Amino acid sequence: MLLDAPERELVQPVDRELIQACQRGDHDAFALLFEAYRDRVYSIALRFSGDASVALDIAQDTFLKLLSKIGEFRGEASFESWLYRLVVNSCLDHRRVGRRWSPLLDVWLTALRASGESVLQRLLRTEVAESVQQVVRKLPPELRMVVILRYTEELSYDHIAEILGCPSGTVASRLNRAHKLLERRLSGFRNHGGGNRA
Amino acid sequence: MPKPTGIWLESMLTRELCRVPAPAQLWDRVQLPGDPRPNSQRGKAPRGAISICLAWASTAALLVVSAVGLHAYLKNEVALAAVRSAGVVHLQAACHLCHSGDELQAVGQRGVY
Repeated sequence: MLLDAPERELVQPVDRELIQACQRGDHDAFALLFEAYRDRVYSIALRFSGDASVALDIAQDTFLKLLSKIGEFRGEASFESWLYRLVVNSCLDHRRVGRRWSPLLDVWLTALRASGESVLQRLLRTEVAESVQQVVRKLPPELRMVVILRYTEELSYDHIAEILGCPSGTVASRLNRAHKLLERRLSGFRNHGGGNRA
Repeated sequence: MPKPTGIWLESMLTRELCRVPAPAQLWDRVQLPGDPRPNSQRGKAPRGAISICLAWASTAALLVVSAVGLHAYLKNEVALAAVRSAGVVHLQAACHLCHSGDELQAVGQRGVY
């Protein structure tokens, strides 16, 4: 289920030369690196914070850290793991500034902007999406981060453990706890599972 | 027919927490050569910096107050010690005087008898 996502493979892991060019201060190399990782960084930030403007702040913070610290990258771990660690730390450092003033209005506006589907279908779909994201946002940070790395980035337990600096067993138990909480809170949407998001 | 527990949740999470494209403005914000702080922090000092400043100011104030207090205490203590030692000297002198008077009297009495 987590493996059938061919778009994940479109971004190839960056090669050593690109990183070395970045370490020398090559602006174009940094642009390439940014291009390769911007969606990942932003998605983790967005799923963690649940707020687009906070996610932009976190992503900006992460890339500025990347720019200033890339000289310290020695290649002992993979570059991806190193970057994920930067994002995770930026997310955990960032406190949520506040809730969105009107999530309901957001849902309605998204539904009305939709084309093709009926407004009702779209409303239902956005309601499910909003509810899932809201429930995930309410998880404790350590559980939330494991869930995001697992379902947004589709990483293995071992990779998540490497990023978070904890044993794989801890990742498994956190994910298990998160599943139980999510299952309880999302049981109302159990039969709304079908279909892919646009 | 409902999906078995776990599978429906995993498919829902995979679908709803999927990766999203980053907005184009992110590059502009990373590129900005000026203030590198995020938008939400611009125009105001970061909370961390304020806390650190407050902590340093409190520590400095505490140190100054402690130094002044200690100085006053030591000064007072020296003065008290001086007073005490002067008092002791006076007392000792008085005692000596008294005792020497007694001794003289005793010697005189012994001499008489």
